[in-house]
Amino acid sequence: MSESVASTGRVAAVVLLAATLIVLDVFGAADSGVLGLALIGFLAALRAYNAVAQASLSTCRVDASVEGSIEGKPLTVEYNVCNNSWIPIALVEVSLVYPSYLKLTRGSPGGLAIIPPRGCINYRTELLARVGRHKIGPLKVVLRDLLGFYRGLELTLGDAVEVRVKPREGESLRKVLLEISRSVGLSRAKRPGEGSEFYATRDYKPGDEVRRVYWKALAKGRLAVKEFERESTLHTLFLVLADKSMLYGPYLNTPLEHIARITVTIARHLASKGDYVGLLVVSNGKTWGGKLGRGWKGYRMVVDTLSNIDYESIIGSAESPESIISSEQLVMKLLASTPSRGKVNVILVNTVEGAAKHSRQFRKLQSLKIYTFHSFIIIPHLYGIEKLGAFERAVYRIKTYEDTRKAYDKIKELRKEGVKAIPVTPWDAAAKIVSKLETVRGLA
Amino acid sequence: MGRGGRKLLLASGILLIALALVGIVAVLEKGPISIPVTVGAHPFNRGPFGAYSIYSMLSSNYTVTPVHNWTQALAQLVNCSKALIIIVSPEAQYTQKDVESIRGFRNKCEETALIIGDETGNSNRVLETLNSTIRISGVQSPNPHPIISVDTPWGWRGLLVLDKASTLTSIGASTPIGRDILTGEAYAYYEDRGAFKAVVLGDGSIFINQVLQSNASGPYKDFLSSTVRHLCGGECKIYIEASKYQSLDPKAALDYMRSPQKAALIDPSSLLATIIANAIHPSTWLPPLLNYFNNIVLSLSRDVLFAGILMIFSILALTLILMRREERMPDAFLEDVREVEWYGYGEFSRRILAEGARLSKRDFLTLYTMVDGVLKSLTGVGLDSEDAVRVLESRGVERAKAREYWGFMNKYYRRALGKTLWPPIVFWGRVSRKSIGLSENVLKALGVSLMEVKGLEEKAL
Repeated sequence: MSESVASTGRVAAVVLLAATLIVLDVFGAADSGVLGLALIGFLAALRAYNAVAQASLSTCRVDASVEGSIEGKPLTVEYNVCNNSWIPIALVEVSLVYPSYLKLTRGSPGGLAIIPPRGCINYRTELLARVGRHKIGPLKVVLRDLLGFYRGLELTLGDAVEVRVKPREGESLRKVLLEISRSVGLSRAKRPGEGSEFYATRDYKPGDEVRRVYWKALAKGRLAVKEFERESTLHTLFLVLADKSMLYGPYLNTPLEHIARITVTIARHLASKGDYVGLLVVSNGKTWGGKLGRGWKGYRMVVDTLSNIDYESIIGSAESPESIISSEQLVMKLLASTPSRGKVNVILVNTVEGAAKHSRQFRKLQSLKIYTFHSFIIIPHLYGIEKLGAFERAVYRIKTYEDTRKAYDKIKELRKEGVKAIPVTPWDAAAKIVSKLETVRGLA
Repeated sequence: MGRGGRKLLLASGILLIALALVGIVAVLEKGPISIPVTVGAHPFNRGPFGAYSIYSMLSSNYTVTPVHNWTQALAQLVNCSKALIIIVSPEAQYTQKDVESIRGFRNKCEETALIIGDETGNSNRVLETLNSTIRISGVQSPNPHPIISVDTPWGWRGLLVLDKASTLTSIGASTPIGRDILTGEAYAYYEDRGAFKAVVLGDGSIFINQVLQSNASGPYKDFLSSTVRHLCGGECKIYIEASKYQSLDPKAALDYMRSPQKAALIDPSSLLATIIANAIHPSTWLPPLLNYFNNIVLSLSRDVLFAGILMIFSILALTLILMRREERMPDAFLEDVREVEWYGYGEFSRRILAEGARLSKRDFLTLYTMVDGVLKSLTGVGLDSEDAVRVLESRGVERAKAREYWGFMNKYYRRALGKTLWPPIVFWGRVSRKSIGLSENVLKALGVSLMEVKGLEEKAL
C-alpha cells in the first residue's frame, strides 16, 4: 500500500516546517513542538487516507459505452465509475485516452471528481467521428488530496471501447454523379446487343430471329428487325494505398476521408446499376476488404471496409516505398479478390507524394492484363481551401502555387515513367472517376 | 519469501526502535527496581548469617514459600492439610496483623506445626497466638556456647552446639528435648497438641548458612531433616519467615560493607547482582543522560552562532529522517491527449484567416506566372505579349480594362525583375492586392478563377 501513494514537494515543505517547529521547541526558542508534531500527525493521517482511497479507486466498477457511428456526427463517450467501498474517493483526476487523430468537440478530455462512498460518477464527452475503426478509452485516473500533498500512482479504469464509423455520402457528390451518368437503372453501352431497351431498327438479315421482326415496318412494306441496346456490367475495385500522406489535410477533409466519401457515393451509384463493386485498402502491410460484390451487397462491403480502416496502421507506416505493401503481395491480394469473369476496373487512389514513392508498384499493377488501371493522384494541399474566404483563397493559391506546380510536375514525371496517372483536385475527383467509369462502360 | 514459499513478514527497523523506546519509557515509568539486599537470617541471604541453606535444603523435598507478608500468604493459602512455619532469629517484633494471619494458618489448615530458632524473644507473640506453652526468655545464657544434648520423641538424639542461646520456659505440657549438658538448662522444647506441634530452640544460629554450610553441619542438617520429617509427615506446605529482617537498598548495603562486622551480614554476590540490575535499569541512566544532553544543548544554545548552526542541522536531519522512506512524485497533471492534425498548410491557412496575408514582390511574380500560364494554356498567347489585350477583348473584357490590366501587370513585372527602375518606390503588398482583384476579373472572363473553390490549377498547370 505504501507504494501506491507518493508525496509531492509540498509534503517536504510541511515536514521541513514541522521539523523547524519541533527543533525550536527542543532548543527552547518557542513552544511550538506540539504544533510540529500535530503537522506530522496530520500528514500521516492524510497519507493513510490516500492509501485507503487509492485501494478503493483501484477496485471501482467501470462501465464504458460509445454511441454514434456516422462520420461528421458526434461520438458520445460515456464512462460510469462506481465506488464499491464505504470510503469517499477525493479527489480523482480523470483523463480520457483516445486517439490523437480524433477531435474532441464537447466536454473536456479530463477533470476532477469526488466519488462518493457506494456512489457513482458519470463522465461524458463528445468526439467528432471520422471514418474508420477507433479505440476510445480507457480512463486514466490519479488520486490527489485536496491540499495536493499526496498523489496516487496512475491507474487505468475500464477498457477501451472500439467504434466503427461509416462514411457519410455527400449529397452534392451524388448530384454530380447523376449528372454525369447517363441513366439510372440498367446500364447500357450505346451499342446494339442483348438487352431490354429499344435501340434502333435495321433491315432484316437472314438468320435474324422472327420474334425480332418489327411488325409496324412490315405493315408499311419494309422487312426490318428491332435492335436493343446492349446492357453492360462494370466490375470496379477501388484500391486505396493509404500511407500517412493520405491523412494530410484538415479534419474530416483529408484525402483519405474525401476518397472514402467519393468511394461510398460512387459505390451506391454503381450498386444502383447492378454493377460489381469493391474496395481494397492497403496500409503498412495490412489490407482491408478487397472482395467484389454485386449491387447493394458490394455497396455494403465497401461501407464495412471503410468503417474498418485502422488509423494506427496508417500513421505507423514507414517512409520506404515498400512499406505499404510489396508489389507481389499486392498482386496476390488483387488476384485473390477479383472474380474470374469480366475485366476489373481498378480505381487506384493515392496522393502525389505516395504515388511518387509507389511508382514501381503502379507500373507493376498496370502490367496485369486482366485489370484496367486508372490511377487518380490527389493534390493534398488543396484540401481545406473551401474554408477560406474568396480573397484569402486567392492568396492561398498564390502562396502554394509553387507546391501545386511541383505536384503537377511530379504527375507529369509519373506519366513519362509509364504510370497512367490522372491528377485530381478535391472538387473534381468524383466527377473524373465517374466519367472514367462511364467511358469504360460506353466502350464495353 | 522464505524457504518452501513460506511468506516472512519482517518488522521494520523503525518499528523495532519504536517498540524498544516504548518499552524503555514503560520501565522508566515504573521507577527503579527494588531488589533489596537482605540482612540477617533471611531465606534469600546467601551470606554466612543468612538462611538460604535451610531454604534450599527444604525446597528439594517440599513446597517452601518465603513469607514477606503474612496477610498475603494467608490470603493465598488454599486446600491446606498440613502447614509448617519456620522462624529463624526474627529481627523485629510481630505485629497484631502478623499474628492474626499466623493464627489464620492454624484455622485454615488441618494441622499446623512450628519450628522456631530464636534467641531474641521476638517469636513469643507467635507462640502466644498459637496458644503454645513455650516462651523464649530472650536472656542470653551465661555460657556463650552451650552444648545441648538433644533427645527427641521422634528418635533423633545427638549433641548440638548453640551460640549465644536464650533459655526457654514452659508453662504447660511441653517436653524439653534439649538440655545443656553442663547446667541442664533446657534450650529446646517440643510441644504436641494433636493438630498443633511445635519445636522451639533458644538459638537460631544452628539454622544459618554458617552452620549448615560448615564441615560440621552433619548433625544440624540431620536434626533439621528429622524434625521437619516428623512435623510434616509425608507432605506439607512450609512457610519460612522472610518478613522480619532488614532489607537494604544497594547504597545502604555498600555502607554496611564498609564495616567489617556488618559486612558479614550481607551476601556480596547478592549485593553485586542488585548493583548491576540497578545500573542497567533505564531509571538509573536515562534521566541523567537526558539531563546531560539537555545541559549540553542549553550550554551550546547560549552561543547564538553555534546554536543557529546546530538548529539548522537538526532541522535538516529531522526532515531527512522523516522523509527518508517517502516516495516522491512531481505534482504534475495527467497529460491529456494532444490532438494532432497532419495538415502542412493548416497553420499557414489559419494565419491567412487570422492576420490577413502579407504579400510581397515574390507573390506578385507568382501571380503573374499563374495568369501567364492560364493565358498560354487557353489562348496560346502569353501575358507579356501585346496580343494578350486583343485576346482578352475577344473573351469579353472591355478593351480599356484589358489594356489597363495588361499595362499594370507588365509594368510591375518589369519593375520586379529589375528591368526598369520606375516607379522608384513600390509597395508590393498594395500592388499585389490590386493585381489579385484585376486578375480575378480577367480570369473569370477566361472561365477560371483565383477566388472560387474550383480554381485554375488544371488550366494553369
